[in-house]
Amino acid sequence: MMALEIKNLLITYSHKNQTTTAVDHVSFSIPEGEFFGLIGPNGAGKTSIISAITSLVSHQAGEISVFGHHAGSVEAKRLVGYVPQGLVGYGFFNVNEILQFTSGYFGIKNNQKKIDELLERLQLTSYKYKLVSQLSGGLKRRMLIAKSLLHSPKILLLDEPSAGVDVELRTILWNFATELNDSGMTILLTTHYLEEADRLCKRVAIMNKGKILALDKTDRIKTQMGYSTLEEAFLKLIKQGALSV
Amino acid sequence: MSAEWIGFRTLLKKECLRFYKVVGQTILSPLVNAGLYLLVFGVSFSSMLKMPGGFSYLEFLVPGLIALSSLNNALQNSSSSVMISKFHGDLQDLKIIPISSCAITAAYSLASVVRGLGVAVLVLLLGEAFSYFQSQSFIVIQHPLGCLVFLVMSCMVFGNLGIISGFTAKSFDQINSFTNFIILPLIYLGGVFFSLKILSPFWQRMDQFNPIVYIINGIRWGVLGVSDISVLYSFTVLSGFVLLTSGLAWYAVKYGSYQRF
Repeated sequence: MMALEIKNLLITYSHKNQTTTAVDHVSFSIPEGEFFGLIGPNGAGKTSIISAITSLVSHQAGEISVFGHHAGSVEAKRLVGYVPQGLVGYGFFNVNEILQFTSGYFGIKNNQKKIDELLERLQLTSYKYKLVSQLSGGLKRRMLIAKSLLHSPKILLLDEPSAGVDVELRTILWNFATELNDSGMTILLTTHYLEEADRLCKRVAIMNKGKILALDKTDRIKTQMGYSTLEEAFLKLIKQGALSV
Repeated sequence: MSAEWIGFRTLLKKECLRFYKVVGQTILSPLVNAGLYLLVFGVSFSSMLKMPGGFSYLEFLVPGLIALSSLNNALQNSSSSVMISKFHGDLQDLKIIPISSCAITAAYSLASVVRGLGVAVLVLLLGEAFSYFQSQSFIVIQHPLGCLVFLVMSCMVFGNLGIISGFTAKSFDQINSFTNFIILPLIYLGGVFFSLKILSPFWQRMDQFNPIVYIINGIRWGVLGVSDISVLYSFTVLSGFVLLTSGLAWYAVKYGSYQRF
């Protein structure tokens, strides 16, 4: 079954009578259980696609379905876990309170066992009763990951999860993401760290200026370009002028 | 218990806990304001002014201050919650959770009612204390149930207005302008400090276009048993505002801006 199907997606933003096309009639699908990467430079349209899946931005044309449900429907929202790119404040509450509230929003009562497990797994237990606003960027990132997994989603959207985090946390995130994927969870990762996509993703779509330029298995892209890493293949594409960064 | 119901209850609890965590600002600060009004106007003018129905000015002022404090706080509760969430970036959570716009609107609106009622009870107790020290008698609430109904409905209207302004505002400046230039003048000119009967016929007619007049008179009827306007008419107008603002608040939640500042 397809975990995610995107057909002919068009997203535009209007500001002061100027319209910018962020995603230009993009189509792709992700089978259940796959670790899929959307890579590309800043402004390629990666976050816009994720935002459209989560209904944070509206799309002007095209269709998005999550496990056969229309994206934005209550059924689809229950299946999606989302880790945003930006760090969120939550001014008044501590980590445990935020995780309890989020469980409740998804209709789950008494989710403390799962909360404690996730806190333990993400090495956040000692910060359980700390105000979120007092956490460092890396700790907030870990909390957002825990928050996205409370309702045991079937597909996890990771929007540049390792942007601005240190090497230790990046390793924790990579291992955890691999573990989740091994357990059957579908993962859509956006990143501009090619090493990350190379290591984690079975398939990638390379995007620039709202269009998909290449979509294939990670290994096949490297083989076709004659390189051993995705980064080298990506740089080759840049040299060829296919991408402008 | 359905998932939607659990979600609604959780959001309501979170919104109530939010204002409870800053109780000094949200509950005690309005109490200080009301205390100063009672001291400056209520105590000072009571011996000089006799109000319609034979009430002292202090007695007349108490229901007006209950309305002023509770409406203001109901408005601020939802508007500041939405705006602060926009600032922190967590308002977007509401877009990704499986709760309907209707349940989100109801949770924000009811949290405003809870805060408005909390402030109303405290201001009433303060008014009773002032009344006792002034005249050794308490203000006897004439229509407790009627008073409660008017308070709940008016706080709901103002909670909804806060939701509408919060979701449509693009900056703190815009929300302050809405409150300071539209809402507060309407509240102050709505009869908190005066009876419509002391106004000239022209201003009496003008004030009938102020929706707050019906709210304040409804609450004053609940507390003192007197009103410048027919209670049934006030109730009908207020019911209309509950429906209108609830619809607009739902629209704002469904289609409003969730973008971070």
